[in-house]
Amino acid sequence: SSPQHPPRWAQARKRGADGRRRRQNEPESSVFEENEPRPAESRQDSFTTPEGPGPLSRCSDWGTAVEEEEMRTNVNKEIARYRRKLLINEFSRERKSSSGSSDSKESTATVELETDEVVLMRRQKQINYGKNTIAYDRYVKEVPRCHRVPGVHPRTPNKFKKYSRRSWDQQIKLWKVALHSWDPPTEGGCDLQEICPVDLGEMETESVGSNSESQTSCQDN
Amino acid sequence: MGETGKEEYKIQSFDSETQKLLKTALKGQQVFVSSPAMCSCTRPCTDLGCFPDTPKQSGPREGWVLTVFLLSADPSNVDLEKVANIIVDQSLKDCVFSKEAGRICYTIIQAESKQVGQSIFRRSLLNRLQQEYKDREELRTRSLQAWICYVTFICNIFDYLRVNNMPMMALVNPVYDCLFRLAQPDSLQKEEEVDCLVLQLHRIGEQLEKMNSQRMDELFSLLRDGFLLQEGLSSLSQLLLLEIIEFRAADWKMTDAAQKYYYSEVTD
Repeated sequence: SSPQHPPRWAQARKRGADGRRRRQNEPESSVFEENEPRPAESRQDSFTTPEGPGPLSRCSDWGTAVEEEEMRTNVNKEIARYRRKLLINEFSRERKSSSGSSDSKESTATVELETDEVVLMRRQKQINYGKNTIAYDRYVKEVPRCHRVPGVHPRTPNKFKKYSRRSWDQQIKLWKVALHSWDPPTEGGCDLQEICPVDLGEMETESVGSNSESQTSCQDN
Repeated sequence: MGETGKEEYKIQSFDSETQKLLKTALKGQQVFVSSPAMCSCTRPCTDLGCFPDTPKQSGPREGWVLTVFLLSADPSNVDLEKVANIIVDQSLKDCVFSKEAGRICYTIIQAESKQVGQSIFRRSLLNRLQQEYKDREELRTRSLQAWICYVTFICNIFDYLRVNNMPMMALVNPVYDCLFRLAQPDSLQKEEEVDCLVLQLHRIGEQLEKMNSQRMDELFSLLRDGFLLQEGLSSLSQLLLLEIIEFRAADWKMTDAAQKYYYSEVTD
C-alpha cells in the first residue's frame, strides 16, 4: 500500500543500500530490491585509494577477510615487538664495555626495517605455508629453539628485514627445502610438502643494499 | 597426497583440558552435553545433527540437549565444517540458541586454534553466515522468525568473536545492513522485528558505532523518522523506539530517569 505522499524519510534517503543515488520519489522498496539485473562481474578485482597502503583486493568471502585481518593485526603486533627487542639489544650492548663483542647480533647503526604492510603480509603468508607442514611440526618438536645450531638447523627468514624480492623468495625456498629433512618417512619417497607460495601480485619495492644473510636473533615464532 | 576436491577435516581427539573448557562454556547456558545414547530419540542415535525440538521435562535435564559432536565416545572424528553448519541451522530455528551461540562458537574457535592452530571452524561459520546474508531478503519472506534469529545470531557472533581483541571488521557493514533492513517501514510495523532491532542495538550498538559512526547516525535518522511518522506502529513499538533513541542519546547508557520510566514497576 503506497501512501499518497511518500513518507518524509523515503524522500530523505539519498541513496539505496547499494550506494546508488535514488531518484526523486523513488519508492522505498527499491532501496533493497535489486530491480535491474546487474552487469555480470564488472567490478574490479582490486582497488587503490589515494591514502591507502596499496592495492587492496576485493574481499571474496568473510572467512578469508577475517583471516587476513587477523594476519594484519598479528604482523603489526610482531613488528612492535621486534622493534622493542632491537631496542633492548641496543641498550644492553651499550652497557657492556665497548671492546668489540664478537657475538653482536645487530649492527649498531639504525637498521631499516621492512614496514610495508603488503610486503609483510605476503611474506607472512609464505612463512605460514612453510610452517603449516608436518615437516615443520616434527622439526620443532625434535629441535627446541635453544638447541638450534646455526647453519645446520633451518631458521625462519626474518620478514622484518629489508631484502629484495628475489633474495627473500630464495631464502624461503632454501628454508623450505631444508625443512624437508624432517618430512615423515613415506614408502615411495614422494614429496608430500610441495606447496607453492601464492603470488599475491607484482607489488614489491626492490630494496637497495643489504642482501646480507647475516643471521639475526631469533624471532619469537 | 594430492587434494582432490575437499578433504573432510578431522581433528584429533580433544584433550581433556579442551573438553573441560567446552563443558564449562556450555554449562552456563543450561545445556547438557550428552552422549548420543542419552538424546531423546527413542533409538540409539549417532546423528550429529540431532536436536530434539522439545526440552525434556523429566529429570535434571533442562533446556535442550546438544548432541555429542564434541564429547562423544569417539571425539577423534569431528568434521568442523559440519559442526559450523549444524550450529547455524540450529540458530535459524531457535532464537534462544541464537542468542548464546556466539559463546559456543568462541569456545570451539579457541579450542581449534589451541589444538591444531587452524581456523576451519571459523572460516566455515563465517562463510555460511555470508551465504545466509546474501539471501536474507528471501529468508525474511520465507520465515520472519528465521530472519529474526539470523539477525540475532550474526549480532551475537559480532559481539563474541574477536580478532586480536578487535571486533571483526568484515562483519561491520553486514550487521549494519541487517539493522537497516529492520528499520524499514514494513519491518517497523512488526513488533518482533522492532524488538529484535532494539535488542541488538542495546547489546552491540556502542561497539558498532565505534567502528562506523556515520552509519549509526543514518540508522538513527531512520529510527527517528519511523518513530514520528510511521503509520501502523504499535504502542509497544513506539515505546521501544523511543527508549533506544534515548539510550543512544545518553551515550549508550541507562540513565536513572530512563530506568525509572521504562523499566520500573508502575504503581497505580
